[in-house]
Amino acid sequence: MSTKHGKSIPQQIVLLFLAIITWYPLIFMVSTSLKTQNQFYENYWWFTYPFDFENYLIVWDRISIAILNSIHYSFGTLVVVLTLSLLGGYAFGRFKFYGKNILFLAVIMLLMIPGILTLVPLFVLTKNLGMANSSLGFIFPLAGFEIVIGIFIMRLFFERLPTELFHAARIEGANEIQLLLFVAIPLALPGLGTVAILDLLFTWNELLWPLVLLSDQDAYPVSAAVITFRNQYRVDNGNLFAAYVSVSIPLMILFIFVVRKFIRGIEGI
Amino acid sequence: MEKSKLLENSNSRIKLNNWVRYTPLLFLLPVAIELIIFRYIPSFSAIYYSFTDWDVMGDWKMVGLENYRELFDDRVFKSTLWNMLTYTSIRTVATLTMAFIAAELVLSVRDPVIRMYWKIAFVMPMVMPRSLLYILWGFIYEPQAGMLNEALIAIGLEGLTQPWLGQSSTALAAISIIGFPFVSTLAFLVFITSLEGISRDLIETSELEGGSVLKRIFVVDLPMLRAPIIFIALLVALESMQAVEPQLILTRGGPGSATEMPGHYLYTVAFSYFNFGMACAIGVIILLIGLILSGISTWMRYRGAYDVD
Repeated sequence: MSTKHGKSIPQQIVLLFLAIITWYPLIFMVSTSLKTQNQFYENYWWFTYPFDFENYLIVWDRISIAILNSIHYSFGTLVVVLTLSLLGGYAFGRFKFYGKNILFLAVIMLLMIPGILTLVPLFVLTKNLGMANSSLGFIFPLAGFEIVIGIFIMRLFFERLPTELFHAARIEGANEIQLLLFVAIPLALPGLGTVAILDLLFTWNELLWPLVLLSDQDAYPVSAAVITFRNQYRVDNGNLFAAYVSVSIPLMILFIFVVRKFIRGIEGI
Repeated sequence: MEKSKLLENSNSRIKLNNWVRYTPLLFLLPVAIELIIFRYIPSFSAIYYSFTDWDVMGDWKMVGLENYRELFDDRVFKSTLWNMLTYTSIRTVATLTMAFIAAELVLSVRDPVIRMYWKIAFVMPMVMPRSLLYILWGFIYEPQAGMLNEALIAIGLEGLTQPWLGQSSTALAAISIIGFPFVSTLAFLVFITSLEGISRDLIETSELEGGSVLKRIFVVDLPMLRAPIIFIALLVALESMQAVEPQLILTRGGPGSATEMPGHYLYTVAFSYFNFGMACAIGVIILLIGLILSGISTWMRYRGAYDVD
């Protein structure tokens, strides 16, 4: 049991154990990516020396394409999701208008519609809209799922802002567009940050939609590319794991900088 | 009371002209277009097409409940529902339990700086691409040079090694515990946040009364976390019941149909058999199960709750 002086050694030992189980597969991934096939059989569980960076050079050509694709799709989705979440959250959070509750319900109810239900109609729809095999066909359907929670978060955010700020600006002669651009957006940045991170995680992880939508494997984002990669390079573990590490790095690096803000953002909801 | 009325009046006087009155609706217009095209129309057409024999050529005619009748005569489909039930129950219970235990353990660390480090340690792995998580677990289960079998050999339990995903007796359980110990999840983050939100007075009162930590957890923490626990349970359950990734990446629903679940079955029916109408019917069944779950969780949330009117 913990005392008032902050001693909690047994608890931390259990936590350490949980952390090791959580992290070990990632460490294994890194150590294996730095091995030749012989080193892999020599020492299975831990790093071996010298490190073999060759694996990364071999896979980089293929994997860099997937990473660029993912960045491209994520950025597009991010722009759409942030814009629409901001507009929706702002409208619901700051204004009182007729039918507001019904409209909000109509948005939030979508959380209960499973994505898999719409897989086939959405596929046919994007095809008919001429968006199959294009990034637009990736961006807009995914954004449709992500903005629901985005609008929810941004509404909470705007409701907590003091209304005096907007009154003051309006008395100074600002119109609605100026209010949105120069008062609401700067104040909303922390909320938008949380939405952006959730959105990035969602987009990077989406697997089913690119498999259904894209017939060209060169257009695959990392989530789908690693699977085709695994099926082709079954033999050489070093190459495979180098590819796995490479696709994990971009978000990891980004997350190192924003993880504290992300935790605070979740606390704010 | 009076004052707030006055303020509201002055607000509405500012908003008098029409342009201001329609502003929120103008802001909502792009949102409405996106949601109607990419969420509402596909949802309603899925329900509609579930009553047709729609195929890949785009031809369809109404067949009534034929798709549903066929599905419930289909032995494979019925087994997918059982698999889904098993998979969803294991994942929901395991995730909630492990995430809650970890949150309590982190909470018991009094130093805020060290506590933050623990949170970061468990939140960071969340950004690993999820398909990679499945691939890594596939590697753990692999019969040759897989991590689990290697570990068993290393501790001298060679007799227990087996093809974990390759035999129907273990495959479903194996995919159900992918991601163990489930600490690196949104559930953990939400629980620790909610636990930190419990007033210190309540915790100190419980300590002064001489209650043990275990007693505090059951008498104070769990009742206080009722809302987030039910919310997360619903979230994990809804996500698990639509699972397609374990099958797409690891088992293809096999061996036999041991790990087949409705989500992946829908994908197969749609894009291998090109029977779109039937696929939509499976989707509708998943929707109905999800709605029942949502209903139950709402009922549990409000039944006898002390924190809502």
